Amino acid sequence: MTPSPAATLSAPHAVAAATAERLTKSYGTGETRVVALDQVSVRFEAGRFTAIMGPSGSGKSTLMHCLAGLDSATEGHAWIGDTEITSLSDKQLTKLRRDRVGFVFQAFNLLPTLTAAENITLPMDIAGTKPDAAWLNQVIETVGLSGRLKHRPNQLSGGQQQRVAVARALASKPAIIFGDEPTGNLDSRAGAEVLQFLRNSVRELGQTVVMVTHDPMAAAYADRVVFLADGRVVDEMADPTAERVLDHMRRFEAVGRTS
Amino acid sequence: MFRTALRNVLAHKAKLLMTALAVTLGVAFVAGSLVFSSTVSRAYSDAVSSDLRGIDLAVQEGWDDGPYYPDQRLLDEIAALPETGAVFGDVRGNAALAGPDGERVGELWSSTAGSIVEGDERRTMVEGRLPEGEDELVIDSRTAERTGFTTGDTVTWSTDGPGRTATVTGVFETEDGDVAAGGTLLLFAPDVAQEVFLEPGQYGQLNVTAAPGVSQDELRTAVEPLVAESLDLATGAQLVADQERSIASYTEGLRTGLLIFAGISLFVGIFIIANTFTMLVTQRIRELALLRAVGASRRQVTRSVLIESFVVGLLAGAAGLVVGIGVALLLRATIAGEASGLPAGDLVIGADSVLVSLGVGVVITMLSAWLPARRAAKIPPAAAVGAAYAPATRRGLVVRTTVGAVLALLGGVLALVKATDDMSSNFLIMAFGAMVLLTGVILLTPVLSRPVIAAVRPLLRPFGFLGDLARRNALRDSRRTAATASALMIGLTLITALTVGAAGMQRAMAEELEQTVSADYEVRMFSTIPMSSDVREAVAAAPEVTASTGLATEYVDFDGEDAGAALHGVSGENLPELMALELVEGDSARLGEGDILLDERTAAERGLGAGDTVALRLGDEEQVETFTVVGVYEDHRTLHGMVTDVSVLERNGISTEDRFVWAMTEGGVSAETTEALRAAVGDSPALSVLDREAMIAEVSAEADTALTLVYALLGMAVVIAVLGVVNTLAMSVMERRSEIGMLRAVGLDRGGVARMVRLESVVISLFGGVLGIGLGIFIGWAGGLKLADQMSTYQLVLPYERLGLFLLLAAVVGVIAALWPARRAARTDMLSAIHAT
Repeated sequence: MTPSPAATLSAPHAVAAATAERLTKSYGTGETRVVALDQVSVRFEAGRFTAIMGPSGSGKSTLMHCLAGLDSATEGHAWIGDTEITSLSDKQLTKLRRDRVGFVFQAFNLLPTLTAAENITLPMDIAGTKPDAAWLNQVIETVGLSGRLKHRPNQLSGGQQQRVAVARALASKPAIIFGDEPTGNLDSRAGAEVLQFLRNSVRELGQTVVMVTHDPMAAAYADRVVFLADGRVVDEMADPTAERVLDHMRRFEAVGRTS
Repeated sequence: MFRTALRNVLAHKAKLLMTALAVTLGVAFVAGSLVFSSTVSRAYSDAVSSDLRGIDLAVQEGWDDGPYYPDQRLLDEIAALPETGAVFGDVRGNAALAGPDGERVGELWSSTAGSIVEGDERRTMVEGRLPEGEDELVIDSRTAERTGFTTGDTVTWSTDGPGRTATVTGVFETEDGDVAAGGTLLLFAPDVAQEVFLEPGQYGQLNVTAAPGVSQDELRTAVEPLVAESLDLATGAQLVADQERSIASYTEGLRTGLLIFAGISLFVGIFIIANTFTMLVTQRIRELALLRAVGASRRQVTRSVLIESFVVGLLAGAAGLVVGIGVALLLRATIAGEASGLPAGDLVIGADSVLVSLGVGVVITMLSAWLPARRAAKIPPAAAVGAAYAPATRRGLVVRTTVGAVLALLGGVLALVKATDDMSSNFLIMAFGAMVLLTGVILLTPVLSRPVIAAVRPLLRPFGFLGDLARRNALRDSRRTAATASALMIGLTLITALTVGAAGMQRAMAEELEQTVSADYEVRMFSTIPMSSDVREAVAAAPEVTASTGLATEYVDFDGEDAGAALHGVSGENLPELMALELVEGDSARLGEGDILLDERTAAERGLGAGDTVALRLGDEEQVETFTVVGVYEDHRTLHGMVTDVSVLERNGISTEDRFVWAMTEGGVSAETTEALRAAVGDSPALSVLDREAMIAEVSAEADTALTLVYALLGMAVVIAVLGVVNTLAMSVMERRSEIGMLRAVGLDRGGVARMVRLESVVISLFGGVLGIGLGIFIGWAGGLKLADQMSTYQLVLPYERLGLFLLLAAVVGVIAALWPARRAARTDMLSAIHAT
């Protein structure tokens, strides 16, 4: 289970939860062509918590969207587990997201008309499947929401809402959970709580989490940080701390400025 | 401020589109009604004035203790005057013509006949020659074209009696008003026409033209001394003015009728407009608060919203006018013409139509935007900097609900009470109560939305989780859902109430007929216009007929006082076989010479019973006849008052025209017998021979026709309500973009999103549908209670199939309304939706 960046990327690896191979995303053509992702190849191992970092415009969100089947790539390939998603239709992608991917967004994570419990089981309700009751209880227990299941989102604090979102992402036992700035709208204490749950879900429940963030404090909760700049993977770091991440960021921002 | 408002209109044009469409449709209905009625009015005037062309003076029938007609002697005297150019005697009456299929050509009321002489400028012979003997006639060219009859053909025609045959000796052209309206005109030689319609030597009207250089007034002065006082004189100018007046009053009725329905459509539109502006104001809280923060006064904020509505109203009004002219064109093409008897002519677009249409557009829009505008002004400037601000207050809903409950209760009670004995004022109170009730329920809809939508929940179960989501979405903004559903409710309430009322009425009438008439056959003219006594004689003489009677009705006074009652003349001998009379006194309804039967009401009023005698004054002679009361019968549908043998009426010189002739036949109803009876009345195109089934069908047919027309007119209100649903959904989809994006991300496919929006639409529509149908049933039932006082056979009939159809219609409205919003929602760009916070 040791990460090996040198491993071959030509085929999806058994332990990789998500893989990108020479993934390119560009907008427009000719002179107005803007490249958001430039031949990105990266692997996210199962059972680990990975943070994607980079300055705004670095392509970190685009990478996540393309890997999660929310957006389509212009060139290259992406896999969720051993499913190549770059060739799937919208309908197949939707089904894939529903059954194998969990999401935690920055905002608008919950449906205001549903209770916390109903929001948690939303993907299963859409699919028309029964949630695994034991697992569900465990998830709810883990995120500490037992007393608030009947509440509606507007009766919950921001941190609680985001924990509901995490629980929803976990509930369907997805192959991978993507977080898009999941703490962006929260104060630091609530943010820390949510990150703790994400980390616990990896450590205790064996989940795979990939999170986009620009906050070094958030990234410090991850097992590994992948740095992006100008649409390319420029570096990565194992077992990060906030200080080291911050340092790193400063460094290649300085590099970016001099180049 | 004006510029800000204008910018807002441009910025929100997509959102304002449905509002504008709602106003446009309402105004189009108004404009269409106005333009169409002026067009009809003008077409009539043109037809009439060309028919009156060349008449300088008319001597018309008058009244002198009975109708009084100009005669041949007067005609000759006028012709001899030096001021007279020419004089024609005119005889006019109703006569129907049978087409090649044996059915009447055109409607009975525009089937006319008259006389023709050489030199009459109004009728130009284009074929053949003038008619001479009693079996010759000429027909107008339009009728000739329609029927294919030409010179030499033998045709069947009749007035109010058995059919007769005549030979067509020619065809003439005319601009006669009735012919222009799709009627027929049969012309005979003057003596034949006099024989048929008047007495020999009498004319209905003398048309005089002036000698060269003589004015209409001079002619009148010259003619006046010759004319008896009992006759009326009118110059050509007066005739035209009289005609225009009567046309105006007729088209006035048409216009009022159409405008009532246009008004309903506009009323429905108000909800949509108010809803849109409320949503716009809510969406723009920050913007409006910013205006306030930088120094705009409340009044200025209100005004900016009102100016916005003014611009929308004006534009939509103008568009409505254009569409309305199209509607009028369509109406002219479909309604006017031979089928309905309305003449068609060039479209008349008066300045008044234009001004009224634009005015209605602006006033309705501004009126509906007024409340939202006031609400906009109340937004505190602090809302601009993000301070929490909740525009819809709970308290507001409490007040609204209280007022609504009071109004609904009041209206419900008003609809049910029976204030007076007078039926029409009772109905007026009921209609007013129904309106108050409707208003109350409209105010209550936000509160009702929860329980009613919960009630339709089982219908959504097959759609599983999406149905559940849709239901909850519909309940999210109860005011918005309520306003949307109310718009649909109004139309459906009226449609249902009328349907329920009509169903009960039809059943009651059929039932009554069943109970009161036992004859196999009924012969009648259109409606209850009396027929010549020849008809009952012809029917009685038919070999298939075993027993028959006519029904001639005369209003007579009791001797010694002016109080009167209806006296029906029937065949006393056949009465028991043909009419189902329930005797409460006496042994037999068979009437001999001098016998009379009274209904219970008359007997009670007069304090009479079997064995008593009653003296009645009959006819003009003040002749008193004394009758013996042989029985009293339960109040009867047709025979209200008293019944005696027709011979008494005849003996007293009273014309005995029958409204109905009933017959029992050998072997009962059969196609052959029907044919034989038709032949017995000479295949008269003016008469209907109805077997029992047809009698009942006839009763229903009129109500059905009226109902169909009302459905068509109320359809517009439903169409506008659809726009309201579209509007609400489009707004909701826009507001919930992020949510939809999230749903897509966690695995709802495009089809699922579309289905969710569609289901929400169906929920809102069904809410409106359930309320409307429920309310409609109540109003129909309340109306029925009033009817039941008059018709003992009335009982509430719920036409379940129709009502089910209406509910289905509501669901279909939902599906149709969701077409565009659902597509839009399905196409939501997931990524930008998620990131738009």
